[in-house]
Amino acid sequence: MKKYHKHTPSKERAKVNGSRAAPRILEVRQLSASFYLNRKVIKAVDTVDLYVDEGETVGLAGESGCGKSTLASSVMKLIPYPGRIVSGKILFRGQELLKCSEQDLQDIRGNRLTLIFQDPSSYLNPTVSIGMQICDVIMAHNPVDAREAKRRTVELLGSLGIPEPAHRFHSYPHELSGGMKQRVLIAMAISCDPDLVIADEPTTALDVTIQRQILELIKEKVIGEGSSLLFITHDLSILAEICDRVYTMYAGRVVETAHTVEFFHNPLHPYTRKLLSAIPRYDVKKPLAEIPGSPPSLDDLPPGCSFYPRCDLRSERCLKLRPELRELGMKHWVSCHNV
Amino acid sequence: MSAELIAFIIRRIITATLTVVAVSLLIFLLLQAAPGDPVTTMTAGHKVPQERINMIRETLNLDKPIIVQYWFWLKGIFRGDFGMSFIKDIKVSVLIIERMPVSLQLVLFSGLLTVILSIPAGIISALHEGTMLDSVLITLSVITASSPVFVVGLLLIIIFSLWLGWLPPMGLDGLFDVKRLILPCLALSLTFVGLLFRMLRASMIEELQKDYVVKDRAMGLGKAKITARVFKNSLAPVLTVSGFMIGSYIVFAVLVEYVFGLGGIGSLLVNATLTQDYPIVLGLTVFISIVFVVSNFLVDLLYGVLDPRIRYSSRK
Amino acid sequence: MIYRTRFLTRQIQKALVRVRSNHLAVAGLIIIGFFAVLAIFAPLIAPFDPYATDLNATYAPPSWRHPFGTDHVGRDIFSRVIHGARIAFAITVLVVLIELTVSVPLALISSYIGGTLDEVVMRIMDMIISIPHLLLAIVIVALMGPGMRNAIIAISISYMPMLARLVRSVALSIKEEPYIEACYVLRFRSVRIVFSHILPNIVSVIIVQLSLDLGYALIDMASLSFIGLGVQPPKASWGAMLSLGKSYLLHSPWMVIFPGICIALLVFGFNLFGIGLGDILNPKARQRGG
Repeated sequence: MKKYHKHTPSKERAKVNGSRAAPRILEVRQLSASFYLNRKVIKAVDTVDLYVDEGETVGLAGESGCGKSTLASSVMKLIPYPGRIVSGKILFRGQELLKCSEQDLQDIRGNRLTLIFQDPSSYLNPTVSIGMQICDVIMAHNPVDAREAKRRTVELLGSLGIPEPAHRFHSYPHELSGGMKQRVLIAMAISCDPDLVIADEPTTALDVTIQRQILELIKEKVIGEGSSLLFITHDLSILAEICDRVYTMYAGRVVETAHTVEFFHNPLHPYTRKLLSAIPRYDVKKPLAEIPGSPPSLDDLPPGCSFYPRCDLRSERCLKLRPELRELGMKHWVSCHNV
Repeated sequence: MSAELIAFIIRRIITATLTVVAVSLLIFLLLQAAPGDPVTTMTAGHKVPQERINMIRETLNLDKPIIVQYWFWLKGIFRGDFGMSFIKDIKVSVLIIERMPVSLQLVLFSGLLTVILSIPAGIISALHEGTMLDSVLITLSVITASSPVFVVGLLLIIIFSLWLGWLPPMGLDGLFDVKRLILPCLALSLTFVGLLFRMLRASMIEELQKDYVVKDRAMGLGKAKITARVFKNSLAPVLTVSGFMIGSYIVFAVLVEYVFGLGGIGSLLVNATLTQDYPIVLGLTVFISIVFVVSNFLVDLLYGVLDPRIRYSSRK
Repeated sequence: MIYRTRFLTRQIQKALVRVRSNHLAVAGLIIIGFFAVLAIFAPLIAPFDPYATDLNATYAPPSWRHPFGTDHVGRDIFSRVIHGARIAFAITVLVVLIELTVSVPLALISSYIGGTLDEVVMRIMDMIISIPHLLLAIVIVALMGPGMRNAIIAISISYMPMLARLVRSVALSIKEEPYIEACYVLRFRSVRIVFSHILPNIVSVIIVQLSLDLGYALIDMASLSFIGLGVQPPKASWGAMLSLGKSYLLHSPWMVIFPGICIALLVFGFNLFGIGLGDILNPKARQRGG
């Protein structure tokens, strides 16, 4: 039997909870996840600590392959075979997700904790109309009949800027453009008024002009409606625009985290600093900075700091001892020996 | 019922009709190519009085040019006239109608049995890929798929009638004679169960890797619903394979009828070849081929309904 | 010329290594090999003459003297089964050879030349395919008269369209490749282009299809014999033995069991080999796990 949660809209919840010491929306403690492939162990996520407070927008930045997407799928406990969560805890409003039954997880996923995917084309079922796919989600978590679900879906499509929503309800994914498909995915993610939305590079696969539209949409429909947001991307400029706090990941580990303003004004970790200096600027003329070398292969990580070979500040200690996160300022954590 | 669907159906109907014409042409040519003239062929091995021969010549329009002969032959087919047996002195179409119920029972129940056996097995195997159960099912499927129908049929009779004495061996007693239908239907379906099972399993395994399944799980949809959707999307290759197998299915039904002594169209065909009653042989061949074409047509149709993308791409 | 031959031999060598490591193919080959040995050394292995009747020992159940029993005229079934292997192999190999030598060149040439010739050939093939192949074989044999030779011809004809279509579709896709266009520009003669350049790339596809066809040909041949249209008595083909045995099914089942199992086993062997071969040549197409 499905449990339908009695749902208070997230905006109100934010108002109420913000004044009390309530469990954080999301708290990831020392999470490790690895892939086991052909006798190789690929440590995609290595003892990561992360949290998202009520109503916050948190950014997660890093290169491709640094483990951010694996982190996202781990939180949803949807890591694909041959991956496995090795250790750690994931607390969603105080509820330990890793200890939940599959049934409980089904109730939470899509309902209070949702995910927006990167490439809308492959994440939509090609033989089911987009309207039905959204209705599926609504009906899975709400005690409504098909007609009501359809009504809500059309309303949702309309509010997300899809023209002729009643007609578009019956369209198939291949009839829509990339931007429209992404709107459909966003619609699905917000359809049940979730507490937390994880957006895994939602704009990366789209044209630049569409990226801006989608970003505005997310600002309006996710953040604006009071949901918390974990925004994963490799585009730092987006994070600067919408996030309250930022994390950077490198080779499966969190290397730096701070409030956005502090983060961008005073980056401490060598990797973050290099990243920021690599952003092309139109006002200052200088050659395009780059970080020499390439990210390490995740199945063969050194015992010390993973950034060692490419770091300016490297020292003997970095080679042997892995740096832990230290608080080096107001809620500004960095994992580096030499800062 | 969208416009594309209707256009798709019409295109398929046209193709099917043209194929029927092609079949009739082929059979006609075969008849012409046979050694001797058609009369000799038609009355092969039987002593026939002269007036009979003349009547045959007339019925077959043998005095007229070939094109005209073909034209009458084709017209006959579209009117449901498949020729006449000169030995038994009955129209082939009458014989067909007489024996249709038996064959229909066999074919339909076997088909049902095949689906009942292969689909759940395929789904279960796909969901439990790599387990012992999976391996056992696969092995079974290869074994059944390679055994010819009549061997399976004969072995079944030996096991269940002779040794175990559970079921009567042959013949059919009126409609829905389940006892007598089980063995023939089982024999006919086992070969195809093996093939369909493997196809469905492979297709579902591939489909389960797709991203939209991840999306469905991430949105908290129930396992049953997700499996149902994946199943629906996996059907396409299965249907394609089924389409190729229909021909074999029909012919194997003929063999099964012969093995089990069922009085259907199939055993009629076999007996006619043995007694050299060529009008029946040819007429039945045309009829069976038409059944084949129609079945393919229906499969295509199903395909178009299940996968909307097909409706656009099948334009020549 | 020499360069191309060496290239082919190297490919064959590599292929043989892969065959050895693929368990399905090996299992299939073992079964096929077993029957092949039976077939080749039949007169040496079989204890009795397959045509020798013994009216004192009719309908005898399996015993030491007659491991598979005797039939209705006292012939030893064990010997007949062994000789049946000969016929089985002879037939399947012949069918596949005919199929190969007729439809492959036809399809290659037709697809290469294109145009009206291609259209006509394809229409004819479509026409042949529109009748289920076993049915077509039945009709052809019925019209030509029963017998092993006619059965072989009939089955070959009914298989041709499928192989031709397969070869044609692959050939057509290869035809568009840049290196073929290069040959054309270099003014190679058409025959050379077709047989020396297009053909090697199709070989793997053809081989897989042919190995499967071996199994199907055996089934079809046995089916034809079973309904009396193929191998005629007193020849000892497995299908014919089944046909005979059917009449005595209920009191002498051994007449049916042993030939039947042999057919199933050999087809199983061909199928295993074909699947294994398919895996080797198209590793991507194989399903995961299992």
